[in-house]
Amino acid sequence: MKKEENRPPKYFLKFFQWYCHPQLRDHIEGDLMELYNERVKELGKRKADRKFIVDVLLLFRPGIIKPTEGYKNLTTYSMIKSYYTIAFRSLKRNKLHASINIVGLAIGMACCIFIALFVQFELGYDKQNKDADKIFRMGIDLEANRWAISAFPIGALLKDNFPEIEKFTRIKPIETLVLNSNNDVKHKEKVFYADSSVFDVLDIKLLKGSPTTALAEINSMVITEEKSKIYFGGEDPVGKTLTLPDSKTEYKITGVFSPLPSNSHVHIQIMVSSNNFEPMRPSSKQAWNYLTNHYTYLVLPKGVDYEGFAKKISAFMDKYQNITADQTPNRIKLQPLTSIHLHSNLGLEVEPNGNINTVYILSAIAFFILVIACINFMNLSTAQSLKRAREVGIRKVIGSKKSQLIVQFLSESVAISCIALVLSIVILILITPTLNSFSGKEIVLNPIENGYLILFFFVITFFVGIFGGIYPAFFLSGFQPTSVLKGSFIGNFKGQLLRKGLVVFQFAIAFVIMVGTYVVYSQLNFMQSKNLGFDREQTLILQLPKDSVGDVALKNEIAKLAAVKNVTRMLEVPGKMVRTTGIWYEGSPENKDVNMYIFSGDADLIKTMGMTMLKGEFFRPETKQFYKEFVINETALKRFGWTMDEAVGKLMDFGERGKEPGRVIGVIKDFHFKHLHDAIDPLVLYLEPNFESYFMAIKLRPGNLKESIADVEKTWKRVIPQHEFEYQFLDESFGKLFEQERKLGQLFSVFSSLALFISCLGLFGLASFTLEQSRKSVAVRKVMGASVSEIVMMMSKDFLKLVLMGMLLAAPIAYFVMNRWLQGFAYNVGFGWAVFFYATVAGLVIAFTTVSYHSMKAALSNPVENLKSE
Amino acid sequence: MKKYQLGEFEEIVMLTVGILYNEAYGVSIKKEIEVRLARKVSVGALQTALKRLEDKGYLKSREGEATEERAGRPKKYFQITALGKRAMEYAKSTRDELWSAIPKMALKTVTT
Repeated sequence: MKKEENRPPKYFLKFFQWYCHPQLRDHIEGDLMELYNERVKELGKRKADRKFIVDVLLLFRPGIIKPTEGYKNLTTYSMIKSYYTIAFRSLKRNKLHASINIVGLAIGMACCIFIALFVQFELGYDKQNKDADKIFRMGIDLEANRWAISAFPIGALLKDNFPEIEKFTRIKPIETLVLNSNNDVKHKEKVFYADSSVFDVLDIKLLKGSPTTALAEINSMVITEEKSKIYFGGEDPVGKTLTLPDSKTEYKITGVFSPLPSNSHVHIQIMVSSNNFEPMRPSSKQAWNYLTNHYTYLVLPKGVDYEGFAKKISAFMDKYQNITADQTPNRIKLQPLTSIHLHSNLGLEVEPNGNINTVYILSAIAFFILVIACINFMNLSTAQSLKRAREVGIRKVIGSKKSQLIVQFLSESVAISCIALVLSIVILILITPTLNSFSGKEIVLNPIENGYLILFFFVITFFVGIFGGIYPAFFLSGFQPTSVLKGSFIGNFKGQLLRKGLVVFQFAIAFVIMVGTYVVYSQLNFMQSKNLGFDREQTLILQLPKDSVGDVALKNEIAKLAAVKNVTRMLEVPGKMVRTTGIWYEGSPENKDVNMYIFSGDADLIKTMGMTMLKGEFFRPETKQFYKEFVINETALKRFGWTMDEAVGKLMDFGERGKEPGRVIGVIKDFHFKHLHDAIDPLVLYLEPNFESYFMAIKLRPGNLKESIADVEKTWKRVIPQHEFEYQFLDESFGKLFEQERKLGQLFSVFSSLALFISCLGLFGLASFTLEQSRKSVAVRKVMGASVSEIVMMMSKDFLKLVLMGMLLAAPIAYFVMNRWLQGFAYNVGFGWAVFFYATVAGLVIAFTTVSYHSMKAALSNPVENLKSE
Repeated sequence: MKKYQLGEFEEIVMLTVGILYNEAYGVSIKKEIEVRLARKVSVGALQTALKRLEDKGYLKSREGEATEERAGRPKKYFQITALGKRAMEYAKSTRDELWSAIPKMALKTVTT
């Protein structure tokens, strides 16, 4: 009981125990207690308590208070400090290996981060729209062809009949000239006719003007600030006017909008009221007859079954148009807005889209490049294990547990990957602008704008640190201290085997990417040089103006020029034809019309384009049999089940069979009128009376191209001075069709060289290590009379074997993957086995060059130097 | 000059530790100083000084017995190290030197 009384104030004692340095705590507390007990006896409990409190408070001073890290942390802290000290020392000691490691990792990480950002960018298309998951674009399937377009009045019609449709909007792009009021700025622009609802549905923000009125009036126009600068300088554009000379309309600017982000499937800079386009007006009578590049977006309730809804509206349209059971029903499709960029590859897309496969391929490449870099890291760390073995032995003897050693080596590798991260950020900052301009994306390296960036940094750093470090950590921490310290520890065969395996793996990956590059390029080359069935060299393509009454006159004038061999007018440019219509022919199924590709060229088409007639004849220049004479291609012949001899004279007509059907007058040899991705389809050629707003192809004679073009331009200016002269070369416009393949090829080549480079870095490091180990054996061999070349061969052989093995392993994989890719082309170059030969030779040469630096060094060194020690 | 640093209070503590010889621990040092010099010494000031002296290597310590009145906490006995002894001697000799350097006259004027 007495002791109970002699307790000092509890909370102050606790306070003291909390703040006091643990080393001092016990005996100071003892002193305090001793004093307290004395004071209780002398002065009484209250005074003793007070004095105790004063003492405790006076003890609260530096020197007595424990350090903030706390007592326990103190030792771990110094342990970790020692880990890092050792890590940096061993890095410093092996400058070559350290820099190989870090550079390799940094390049791999930079690649990986860039690709991650690229993929994120690609996946983020249109996601920023406030209703992203509610918006669907309407498309339509006609026969075998799928289009991204829809009829003009369909949006309004559906909105009136389906309460589910919250809103809809329509856009219709045209390419046209735009002229400012001062007549001094004139550019070709993509101008969109758009409904007022476009601001709401596509989430376009107006900086000036009101969304309800900006596009409501006829002749109103909204532009972006960027365009405003071009046409009006720094002035406020609102209230000013721009003219579209092609349609002779003056538009009043009613608003300024901020453009959609670069990761949108459509990029709009100029919009004009949809009331300016006759078929888009609600009052339009002819609107149903048009089916051009016009896009309708519907806003549906969240989580709607859009595929089911598309069937519903298709059925509705069948009823509306009185389509009977024996006619082709409507097949209207809906696509989620966010899937357009990566998953939609329909006809007449508003802009070329990306491809989900590219995203997959790039992600795989990014991953593998990182793996290659990690393998370097693993290989070099385990190769150096000999140097670290003693340290491990000592640490174990002193009492390190295996788990502690694992933590040590892992933290070492994480530290190295952090250094690599810093370097890779520098690389990223340097290369991103170039890669952006090359890929046409806008990838930002700003962690404030893109929070994921930090996440990527963290994830990748830790992935590399842990993945690259885990094996060496287990390997190194598994050494037996006794054998290591006795000095009898010589290498580790298991480790060597694994190292070799990893090199094989690395080169296998590099090989697959190399073969991929080669195949992509050879396919590209194949497509560009393939005989298309028409001649695309030295051919100019002009687009004829809409109101050119004198298109014949222009043709005749141009044909007179000395530099011109032939001129023809035609409906579309071969290589990107898209027009289809219903065609009836003798013996067609159920005697109905079948949807088919159509094309028209005047009498000079065959001559100008270098096409070949197989049977019958082409349209004669003097004929007036417009829409009544037909020429079919070989594929059509086969499809119709006709023989070559019976084809000429068969009956054929547009739409259903008319009273006076036309006749087939000839069979033309197949030519590639569509993209080479696609097989050649049946094609029907007919004769148009005029070719307004279509195309003219001019075959030039060999000679001075510039002068020839200038001559053509002069003629144009003379005949139709009111129109701008613009031209394109057929082969160039054709080449543009392969933009996607070319970009893929370029990306492949960049990454394959990087993969190869990182692999070689690793090989270089490994070679330097191995050859250092065998310096003595080389010296002995030299003394015994081995020549330099023999030694170089001997030293390189082992490595080359690994490289070769990797390539052998990779060959089937590369074959499988690239064959699949080639299947995507109706006409592909085929898988040449030569590619394996080239890739193997290239790989071996590069690997040999890499290794030979070290083997040469070893072979040329003076044996005395290496033997005199010991 | 910086060779041996010993503050005034530190010197007192050192001397006291010397006086107490084998019995110098927190409470006894505190009491000794309070008795001999008739000045109050707080536990905090004393412990800080002891720690500082120990860190400097002038004192060394050993764990002592734990008694009931100390609630089972051990005593920490202090002892002067050789270095500590030298520091004390140095302090004394510098002081003596200074003393001997004062002219007699100066002191006389002070007393008068």
